[in-house]
Amino acid sequence: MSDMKLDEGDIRDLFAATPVYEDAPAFEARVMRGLRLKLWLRQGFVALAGVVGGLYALAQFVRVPNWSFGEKVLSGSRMARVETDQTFRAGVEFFDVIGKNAVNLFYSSLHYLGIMQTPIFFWVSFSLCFACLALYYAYSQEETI
Amino acid sequence: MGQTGDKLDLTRQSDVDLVRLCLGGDKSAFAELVRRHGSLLRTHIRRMGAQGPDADDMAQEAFMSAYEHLSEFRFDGAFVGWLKRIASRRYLKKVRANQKYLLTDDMSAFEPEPAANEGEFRAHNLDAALNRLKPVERLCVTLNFSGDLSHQEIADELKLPLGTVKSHIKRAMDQLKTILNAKPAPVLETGT
Repeated sequence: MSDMKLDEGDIRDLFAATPVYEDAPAFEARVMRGLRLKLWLRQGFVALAGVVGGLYALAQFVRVPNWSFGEKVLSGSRMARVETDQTFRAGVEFFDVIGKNAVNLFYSSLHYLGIMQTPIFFWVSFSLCFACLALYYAYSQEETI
Repeated sequence: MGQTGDKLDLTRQSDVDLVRLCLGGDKSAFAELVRRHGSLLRTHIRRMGAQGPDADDMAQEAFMSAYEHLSEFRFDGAFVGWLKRIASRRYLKKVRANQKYLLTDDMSAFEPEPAANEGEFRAHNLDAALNRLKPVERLCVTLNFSGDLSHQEIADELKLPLGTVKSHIKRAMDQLKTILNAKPAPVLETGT
């Protein structure tokens, strides 16, 4: 056995001694990079949630009975085709196609809009949001020191 | 007063001041805390039993968690102690999820590997000595000595009886003293 005997205080001192890591600067950079990424993702998620929430709220209020915007566009474009020269007609036809596609997309989305306005959709989405909040709260409580 | 020109010299600020700066939105103050305590935290997690890359991942997660919960730091103790508690909890969570046998009362569940050559073992090398303890003893003694947790707090965290924790720590201390007090074998000259 060695002449020097370690007691509890010496072992405590050994625990307090910290070795120096060669990659300490790299570790610091890694932590800060991870932190920035997490904050950026969180901000992105909040923004996305805001957009989705805004669209959802809008969907609860928008009512479109006998929608006729597409018809007006089409009739307007037909008039234009008759009254303008060839070059302008090509441009009008181009916008006509875009208009038709947009209107088709809008009409197809009306189907989903109808679903989004049903009570079952409201309660399902409300429950999901509530569950997300509850999980987030439970997780944050677990992390609390 | 820690000022260089109009820019604050963060290296001369105390942990408490750096935490206050962080709470004010200064990320560079947190970077200084990471620089200051990164090695300590990595060592603490390693000494509890985590392997190198896992330990670094957990240290990183602990820092990120600390940043998010910085407003919960009560300034009534050392920041590094608070940091170690976060890291300890994360490690224990992982242990409970993956290696439940470590926390059983069965002391024969783990048999440490015998050292190949006692002479090769470096006396006073705490990390090497910790490697020779049973995982649960290593965990208890590290939480007590490095994590500054009381016996009762360790019992609560590990969900073990207080008496069991005390016996783990006592046994670990006895072994550490034996290992660290052991005289290294002399290096023999070959004469070539």
